[in-house]
Amino acid sequence: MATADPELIQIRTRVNGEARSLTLDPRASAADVLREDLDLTGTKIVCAAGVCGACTVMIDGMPATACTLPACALADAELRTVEDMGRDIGGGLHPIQKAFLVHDGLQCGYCTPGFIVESISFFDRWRAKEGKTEPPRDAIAHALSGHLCRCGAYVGIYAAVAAACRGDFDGDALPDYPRHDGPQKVTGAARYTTDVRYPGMLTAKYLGSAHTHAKVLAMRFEAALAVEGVEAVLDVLDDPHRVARYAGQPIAAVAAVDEATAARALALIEVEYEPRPFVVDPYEALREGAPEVFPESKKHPANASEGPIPPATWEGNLRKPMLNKLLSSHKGRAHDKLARAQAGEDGLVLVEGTYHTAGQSHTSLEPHCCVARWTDEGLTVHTSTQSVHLLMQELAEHYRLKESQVLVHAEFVGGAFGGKQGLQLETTTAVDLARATGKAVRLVHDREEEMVFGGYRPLTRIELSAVTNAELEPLGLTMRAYGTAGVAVQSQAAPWVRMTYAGPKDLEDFDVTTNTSPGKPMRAPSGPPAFWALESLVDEVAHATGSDPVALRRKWDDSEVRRGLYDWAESLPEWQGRPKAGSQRGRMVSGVGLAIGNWFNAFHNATRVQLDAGPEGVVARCAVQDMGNGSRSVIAKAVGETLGLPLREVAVDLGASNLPPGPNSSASRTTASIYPTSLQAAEMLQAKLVAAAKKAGLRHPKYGLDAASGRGGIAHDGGFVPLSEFLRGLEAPIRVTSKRRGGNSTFDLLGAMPSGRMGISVYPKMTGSLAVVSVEVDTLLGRVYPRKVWLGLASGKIVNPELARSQAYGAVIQCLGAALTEERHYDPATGFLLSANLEDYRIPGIADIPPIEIFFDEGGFEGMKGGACGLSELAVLPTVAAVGNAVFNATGWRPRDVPLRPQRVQEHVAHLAHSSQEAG
Amino acid sequence: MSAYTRAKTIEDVTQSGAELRAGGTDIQERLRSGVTSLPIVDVAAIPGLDGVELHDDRAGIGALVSIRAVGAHPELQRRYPALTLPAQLLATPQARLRGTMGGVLCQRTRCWYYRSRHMPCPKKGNAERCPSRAGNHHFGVVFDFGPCVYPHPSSIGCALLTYDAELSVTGRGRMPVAELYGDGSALRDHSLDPGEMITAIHMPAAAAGERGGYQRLMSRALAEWPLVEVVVRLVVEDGVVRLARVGIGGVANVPFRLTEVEEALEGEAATDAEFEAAAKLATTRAKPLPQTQYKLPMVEALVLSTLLQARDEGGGDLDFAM
Ligand SMILES: Cc1cc2nc3c(=O)[nH]c(=O)nc-3n(C[C@H](O)[C@H](O)[C@H](O)COP(=O)(O)OP(=O)(O)OC[C@H]3O[C@@H](n4cnc5c(N)ncnc54)[C@H](O)[C@@H]3O)c2cc1C
Ligand code: SF4
Ligand code: FES
Ligand code: FES
Repeated sequence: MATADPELIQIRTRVNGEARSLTLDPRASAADVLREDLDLTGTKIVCAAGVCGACTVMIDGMPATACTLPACALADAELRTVEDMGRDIGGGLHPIQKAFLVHDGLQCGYCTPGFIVESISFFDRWRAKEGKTEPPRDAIAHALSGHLCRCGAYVGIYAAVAAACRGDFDGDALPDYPRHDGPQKVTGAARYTTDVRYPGMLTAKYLGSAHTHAKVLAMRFEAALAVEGVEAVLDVLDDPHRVARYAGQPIAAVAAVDEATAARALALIEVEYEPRPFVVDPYEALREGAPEVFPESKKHPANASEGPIPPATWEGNLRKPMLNKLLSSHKGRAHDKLARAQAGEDGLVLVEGTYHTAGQSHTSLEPHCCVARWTDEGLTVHTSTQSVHLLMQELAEHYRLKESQVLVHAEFVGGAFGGKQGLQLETTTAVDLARATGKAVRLVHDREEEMVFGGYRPLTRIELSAVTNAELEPLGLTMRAYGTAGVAVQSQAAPWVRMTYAGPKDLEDFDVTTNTSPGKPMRAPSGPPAFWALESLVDEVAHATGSDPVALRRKWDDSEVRRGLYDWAESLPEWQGRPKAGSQRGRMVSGVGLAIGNWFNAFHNATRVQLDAGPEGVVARCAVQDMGNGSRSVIAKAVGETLGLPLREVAVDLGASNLPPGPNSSASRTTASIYPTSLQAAEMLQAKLVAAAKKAGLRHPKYGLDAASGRGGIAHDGGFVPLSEFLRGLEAPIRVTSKRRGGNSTFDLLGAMPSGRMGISVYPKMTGSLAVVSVEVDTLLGRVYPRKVWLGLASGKIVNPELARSQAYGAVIQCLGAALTEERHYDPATGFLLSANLEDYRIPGIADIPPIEIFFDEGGFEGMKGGACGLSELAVLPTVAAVGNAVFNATGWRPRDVPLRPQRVQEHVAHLAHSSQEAG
Repeated sequence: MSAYTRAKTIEDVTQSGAELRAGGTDIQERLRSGVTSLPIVDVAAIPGLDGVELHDDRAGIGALVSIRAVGAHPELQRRYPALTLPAQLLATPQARLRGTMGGVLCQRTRCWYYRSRHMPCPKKGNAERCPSRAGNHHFGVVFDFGPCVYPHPSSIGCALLTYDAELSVTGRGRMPVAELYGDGSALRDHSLDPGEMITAIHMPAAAAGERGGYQRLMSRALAEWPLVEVVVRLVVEDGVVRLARVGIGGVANVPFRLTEVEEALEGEAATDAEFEAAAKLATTRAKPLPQTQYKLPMVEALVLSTLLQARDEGGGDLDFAM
């Protein structure tokens, strides 16, 4: 039934202690009103469906998801948002907020406001009932089960809530905490791109292709433009042949005064399509005569990797990169051994397996988004990006501006995981609409759009075989890896398999294109599937040869870096006490599995860090970004420790492109780039300070630390001047700028990264990781419960152990998602993504997370400047296979297909539940 | 008809002829995505519908009582464990706080075709046939009762069936819960029309010594829609099953009772072997779709597991639902 817009209604309410009268659209949610009308942007919208808890507020003292709370329900109610939490307490922070800071219960911070509000509510109820005691893990898990965190900050959250409840943070004092920007994140003060507001700002929305594969012959915008409040409509189809190649692909965009108006206008855009045959399923795509995804030319697939797209040959939808030839070693020998083993030659052991992984969505809780504005000076863009500096350069090039005319802001980024690099469609769309309208324009993906085209790790099918003998020699390894990233290419398992383990190898990568949305690079692109397959296979070899999994790896593995990790794993009592595979019967069986990872070690060779010292203190500046990885903390730590200043007293200015160039946060090189550069800058500053002291007449000045306070300052013949005091007396502020140089790298891959601008250098030694996972399997129901995870990392010096641990926890948790729950589901008739929300796409929740222990083996990289390598990608490699190997150890059934959801597991293990008697 | 009514009385609701909004935890998302449109009538502020009334031989629960209040009610926990257990475990803590008993019964399907603004579905009136049946029905039904192949969402509906509870519905008087859902042959999530409202739920007397069980099979530990969920009421005297009620969800387009399992249990010894034999009957009426075969063994396994829970634990309170 067609109904006109409803009349607005008036209500009275109290928000954060203040009486308010509001005029509302009765359809609106409380979240919309808080964010858009009251500018209380601490409350975040992520799923808009009551699933993720990011929007949690307190209404009349109890938590509610503001996205599903009708704004009308605020009438005569008392509403409190994160901005109000702790305000009435000495020091301005609630014990829960302090506990989150100290136990690092956050990374990007986008989920944090919701967790804080819910945890405070739990804290109050717990204290009222149980007093100052520590709640068990289960109680915390239940209380916070309505919240999701994509960074995987759950380990810190458990610790924080437990510590706050037992009274660790009841006093006014705020102890030291590791995350420099934590205070803004636990109070809701951090402003992300989605929170940016300009007066008169317009809201933009995409029109998605109604066809899975169609030539767009014409689009007519007149009717849409005629809608009151619509200011521009643009064609955004990004394809040289005017073809939309997947259902929902953005083809046009509208800018209007608000979202509802934009949505109305979208429906009025007339599109003339010429539909074409299409293919959705990768197996279908390989069939003779299957419709081709790129029938007119193969030149323009999207790129799911971080490297350039190398030349390739195509057969229909199958792409074979020419690089394949380079990636094998002693291919003939590998082949020959395989043939002989297959023919049953004596003394050879052949193990073969085909392994699958489902696509894994990045689904950062802050979606892709952009706010763009043109001014007389040029272009200002706020966007959720992991490459502030590079994006500025790309925008300047794209819009033919000088670099000085483009300003990119990304002070806070709500997660990225590889999916937010370089110039993307949401940015060009917002910028173009801003130019067309002369106003600020905001474009924010809704969760469905984020799930459909926000990015995912390609799905893979990897066929592997290995040949060995009684001496366990690596005689040959062959691999055929098929990756599907929809309309994108460059899923590559071969490089990682090539670099791991000795022996002859015949390796090939293929892409199978389909008419589905494009994959994007994700945290260690193609790494987790490659190691899932390889490390499952190696476990199978160990089983087939009756050898010990660690002994076998020691034999095959030529990395000295991992030796310490093997020693550590072998020392774990749980590993030593693991059962014999398949020896158990009954409903609950348990097992332990192990797997390794191997990753390259890179840094950005053009990073600069600027330090300004003056009466206000020390400010570090760099156009790097912090997506929860802790860039601010790394810089503050390097500067603070060198200068003898507490972390909190080093101001860090980042996330804006008008600062000195910083690295693209990809290829795990952020820390390796900014840490040594910051150290160097601090050393340069010390020298300048000493020179200034000399000039000021101090005798024999030296930079040093005060033994009593640990604070830095100028020691001279007449005594000691603390730094802060010295700075207050400075005549002129001091500025130094340091630069990261290529230095001791084997080769500089200048130009290899997306734009050709960002220098990347590779250090000649690979980093290593090793995961051990203990699981329990309910064989009756097919449920796999991880009970404990250990992750060992050999990535050189750990600059900031708390934050490094947080990153590693997050990596393990994302792997548990890939191993157990995360799966993209498509409609076979259209290729449209059905699991395009956070209830059908299942990322791990807090109750799914077992205790996780991280071990750092810091030796081996002393030769590298700073000695600190990245670990974000290294940490996501081994855990998925370790889960599979643990399930095999527990049940005797070999999983070859992840995620291990109950529907994949139950049929294979149910017989164990029914045979408890036999076990005795 | 006005696009929006803020009802102060039940008559306001009836007159509005509009879709109701109670806690909003379901409808609000549909309003945002455009799957549902106006008119709506807000019922949250109608007084007198948020109480629990206890009598010796029955209990009444107002339609605006929150799911959490039911789950946390000590006397309901004692008498009706098979109701309070799901009320403590379904959805998220926030949804249980705001979600109402009327809303949890009348919530609309979570089918991904229905919920996406881009997909067709006959329940939205933009398709003739169910696209999921020929398309992706991975989470679909394994008991194929009618045109819709997505499982009914209501855990509480499932629990109330095991009690033969009744509902007060405006203009209809009392009706059994079973009538709210029907047999699945209709293309509807429930049988109420816009403007019709459940005002109260009537629980008959609980059986003496009754025990409850509730389990959900999910891939995550909490806060996920189940692949299968089972509610059990059980009375065991001297080692013999006197009463057995088994409700099942996640497997058909309506919640329903596995009467064949109930009949097989009653009068038999409460042993593992008898439970296993009875659980085997759980799939008697099943008719799996091509992609839901996997649910068959799950149904049997979860029925068994929940029967064992009711027998061996049986209480209505989970310690952690503070
Ligand atoms: C993440 C998540 C997981 C969930 N998991 C589960 C689960 O496992 N099991 C489960 O059962 N539920 C689950 N839910 C759903 C939740 O229980 C419902 O959203 C909630 O109970 C609806 O209640 P409400 O009052 O908010 O309803 P509303 O959103 O206000 O209304 C829902 C529908 O019911 C109708 N309605 C409401 N009250 C009445 C009434 N008195 N008479 C007639 N019609 C009425 C409305 O017209 C509307 O169509 C989940 C929800 C979320 C967000
Ligand atoms: S399964 Fe039901 S809700 Fe889903 S598309 Fe079919 S009819 Fe619609
Ligand atoms: S945004 Fe409200 S629950 Fe996810
Ligand atoms: S910190 Fe939770 S989503 Fe990033």
